[in-house]
Amino acid sequence: MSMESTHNLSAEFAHVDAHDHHDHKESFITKYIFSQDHKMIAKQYLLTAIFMAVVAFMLSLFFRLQLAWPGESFKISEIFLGKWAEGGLLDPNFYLSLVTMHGTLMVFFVLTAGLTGTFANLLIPLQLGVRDMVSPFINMLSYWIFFLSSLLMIISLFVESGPAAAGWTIYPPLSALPQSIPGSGVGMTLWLVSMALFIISSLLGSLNYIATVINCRTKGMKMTRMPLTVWTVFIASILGVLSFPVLLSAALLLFFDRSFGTAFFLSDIFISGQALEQTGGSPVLFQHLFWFLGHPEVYIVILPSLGIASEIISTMSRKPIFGYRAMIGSVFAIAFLSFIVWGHHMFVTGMDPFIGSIFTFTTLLIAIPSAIKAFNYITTLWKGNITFSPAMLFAIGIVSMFISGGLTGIILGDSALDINVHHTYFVVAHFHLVMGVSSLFGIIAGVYHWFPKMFGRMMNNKMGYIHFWVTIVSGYMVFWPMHYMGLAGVPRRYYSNTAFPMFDHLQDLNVFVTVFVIIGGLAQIVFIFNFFYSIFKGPKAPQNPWKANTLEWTTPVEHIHGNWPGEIPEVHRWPYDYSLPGEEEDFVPQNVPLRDHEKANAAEHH
Amino acid sequence: MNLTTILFVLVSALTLVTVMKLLSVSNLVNRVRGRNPFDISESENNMNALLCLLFMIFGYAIYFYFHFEYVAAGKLLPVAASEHGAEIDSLQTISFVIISLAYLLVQPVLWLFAFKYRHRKDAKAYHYSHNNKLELAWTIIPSLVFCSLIFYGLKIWNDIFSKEIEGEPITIELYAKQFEWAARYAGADKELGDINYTMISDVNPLGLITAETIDAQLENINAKLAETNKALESFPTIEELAELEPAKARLLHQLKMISSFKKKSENEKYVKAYDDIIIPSGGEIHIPVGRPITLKMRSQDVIHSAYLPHFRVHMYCVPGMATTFSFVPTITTQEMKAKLNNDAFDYVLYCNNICGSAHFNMQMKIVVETQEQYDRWVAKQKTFGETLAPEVATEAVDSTASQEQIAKLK
Repeated sequence: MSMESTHNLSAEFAHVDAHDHHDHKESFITKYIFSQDHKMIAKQYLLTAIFMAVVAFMLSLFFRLQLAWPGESFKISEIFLGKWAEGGLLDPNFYLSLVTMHGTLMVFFVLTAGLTGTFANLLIPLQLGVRDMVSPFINMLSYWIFFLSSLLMIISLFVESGPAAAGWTIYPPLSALPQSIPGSGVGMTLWLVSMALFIISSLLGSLNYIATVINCRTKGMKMTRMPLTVWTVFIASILGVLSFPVLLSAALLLFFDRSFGTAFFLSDIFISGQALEQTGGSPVLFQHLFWFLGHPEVYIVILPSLGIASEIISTMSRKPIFGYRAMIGSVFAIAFLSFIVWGHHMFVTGMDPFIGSIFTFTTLLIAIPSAIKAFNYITTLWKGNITFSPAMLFAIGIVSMFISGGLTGIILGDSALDINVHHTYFVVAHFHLVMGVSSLFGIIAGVYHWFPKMFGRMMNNKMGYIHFWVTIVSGYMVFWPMHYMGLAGVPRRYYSNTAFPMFDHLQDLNVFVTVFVIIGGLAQIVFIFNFFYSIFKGPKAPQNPWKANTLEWTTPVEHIHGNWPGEIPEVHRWPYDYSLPGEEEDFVPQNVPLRDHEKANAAEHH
Repeated sequence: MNLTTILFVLVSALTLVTVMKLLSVSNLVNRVRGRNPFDISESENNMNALLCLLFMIFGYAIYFYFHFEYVAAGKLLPVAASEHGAEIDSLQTISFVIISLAYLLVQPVLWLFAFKYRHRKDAKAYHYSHNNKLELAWTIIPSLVFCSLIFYGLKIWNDIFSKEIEGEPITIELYAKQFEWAARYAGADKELGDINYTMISDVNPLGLITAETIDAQLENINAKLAETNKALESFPTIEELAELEPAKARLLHQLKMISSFKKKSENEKYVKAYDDIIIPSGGEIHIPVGRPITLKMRSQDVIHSAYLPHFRVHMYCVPGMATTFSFVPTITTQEMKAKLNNDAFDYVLYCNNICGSAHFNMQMKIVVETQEQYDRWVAKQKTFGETLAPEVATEAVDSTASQEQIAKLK
């Protein structure tokens, strides 16, 4: 059925293109705002994510200033934060709001929506040879609900009692009781409503991606011929569909506890001189629900980034990705295991130690497919003919960060070792390297690589190089020292460490880190300038600037609705035929029919 | 706007204009030379390859710099001061050796390959799509390494939580609330007295249940209820009403709970709390070296976490739920001071789960001392019964005096 419907759809589009193309005038609103074109929606996701990333980075800048120079007055904090930094001195409650909102914006709005929203939308139709998503309307709806959710989250930064402040994991009772922290008032309500919308948006998007991948691939595009970018966003979407609803239920129950006096997560609490009536609820239950999403979420953000790395590394090394099937297999293994490891966030919450040992086992198992991926990337580079485009550098950066951050996971996943590093800066260092920086690199690499596809122009390479080298050095310099602070027992989410003489000798590390946060931040200005400048003034892009094999480079540079002017190309081979022996060029695009000797080979195998 | 701001804006604007001009000039130059402005030249490519090589060295540099400057220099946590902590430390050392080796071997290969296989004009990449043997090797080797780490780790984990500790444990309750710690020793009967959160008051901050505290709390709550009723009758504003109504409901609930304790106390007496020793916030927790300590964590309001990093002890304090962690301290405060050559050193307990504005300053000092010093310290502490009323104290002491003497003889 699927093939048939695809062809009908293609025929229909071809028909539209042939006859109505000239009459079909789009208004500004349908083209740029309420667009149903997947390419435009991808750009909308990207721009929103860039905005959210800038906000989230600024938030981190303010708390980094506080951590490096506690008690110092910063004019810039007062200008931006107003009453939350009176006299330039950060308010301790607002410090917690800053870390909470930094985490929320980065994890959900930048790394989830920015990465999958942009590249699933752009690449699924273009790389699979589809005119558009299964339901362009739902796709549009997904973006606009995401936009609404972003708007609410940003608005929550400005409410009187301050934005949510219970940490991005919003553990109740702190998140449930406004008496315990001002951020758990209106700010928290907005957080919950915004996240509910976000989840709806994510589900609409993911279902669309999954349906498109399963049903609409062009002729010859078998699942085993899909580029790894599509594979990873496909699996990440499935993870999202299965896990995000659990967060929705957790948020809903928390909402009930907050507003209707239920006791799902509350029990035996005495606060502000009053004994609350709620008994029998369990705060640990919330953590189970939260991390049932929270852990797959880590892979929702890292898998697409690894997919992007696969594509770019293979293309720019002019070599097939090493172990294509093993790569897909390990994505499946990671995806499956990601659902049964959530308890490793909860080893010392009072969870039964026996369950803890099960989670240790499954957690360390996940290191095996991760190791396979890392080795396969390195082998792809081996004997390659590497061109260092900025995208390629960032792709190598992804692998480097994934290795460095992944290795420390072996410490944290081991329940016995986690006892003493749980909630310390060691954790902060670990997840920022392995999922923060490497997913962010995924977005950036993707932008450099597919910029010509998105905007029809090229970005400036020299600025790209400056951006990469400053960013990766700053990335390591910011998060590397945090491991040592964690091993010295410094907890995360501390407004300052001055109350503990045992941390005095580590203060220079905090200064060191903040200095590199600022340097790294400046490098991002170069990127943002390059991005916007190139949209308007960049040199015009050729059709296939990287000499890549995948189908998106067979579409015209100028965007048209329906992607291909004529017939959709048919696919004859996998996407990684780079430097094929006997070929004149060092790449053979997917739509090139098999050569005679290849056909003979294929027949032999069958 | 002051002068600096104007200058800042001017300089930024000028920089922007200059960069844009430079870009268009370089695009123009490229076009004149017949090159695409986005082509990556051989020299650019080689420069990036060289930077990859330098970055490999950078990777080594940060590893060794921080290793010598922080790990080897002893700036991290000192040796574990508990029995299970020593086990954790040895597992941690082995794990760090393994991951350091992996980092030092794998990371350079990545950057070295990037450098070595940089683009050359006449070169063609080697079409090499898979090698099952190789892939099997790097599946099996990590699997073996990880499995051995898992089993070693699980053995330690299970020992910490399931192994019977030899010797008679001292039970201490760690009581967390925004933003301070209190502690309670089980006392001579070695059992912590009954508690309930509805029993909490200014004079009974931990909510202990005894005949006296029940009566006092009944009086206290009834008074509060009367006050609330009075406020409700005196035409409150809507805002006040929004606070008074739930407050009244809470007080009624509290009253119901306390009355049930009152009823229960007629049949079985709440006596276990009299000999409990309470260390209020700002106090010190004293523990004897070499004796098993069982910590029982409790929280009054939100989730806190009891982190005693020197003993490798860490457990959440969850409202409505009892959590526990047992350990045996092995090094006294004095010995640790000598070991670290630092007279200011102290063991400390602090909160490690976000709990509100003063989360960053929620700590309590812990003193590890010899059994004799500990016994002397205990003898000086007042029991809860003694703080209640003199006559209760004597009663309680009489009933437990013999047990206390036995404890002291040990």
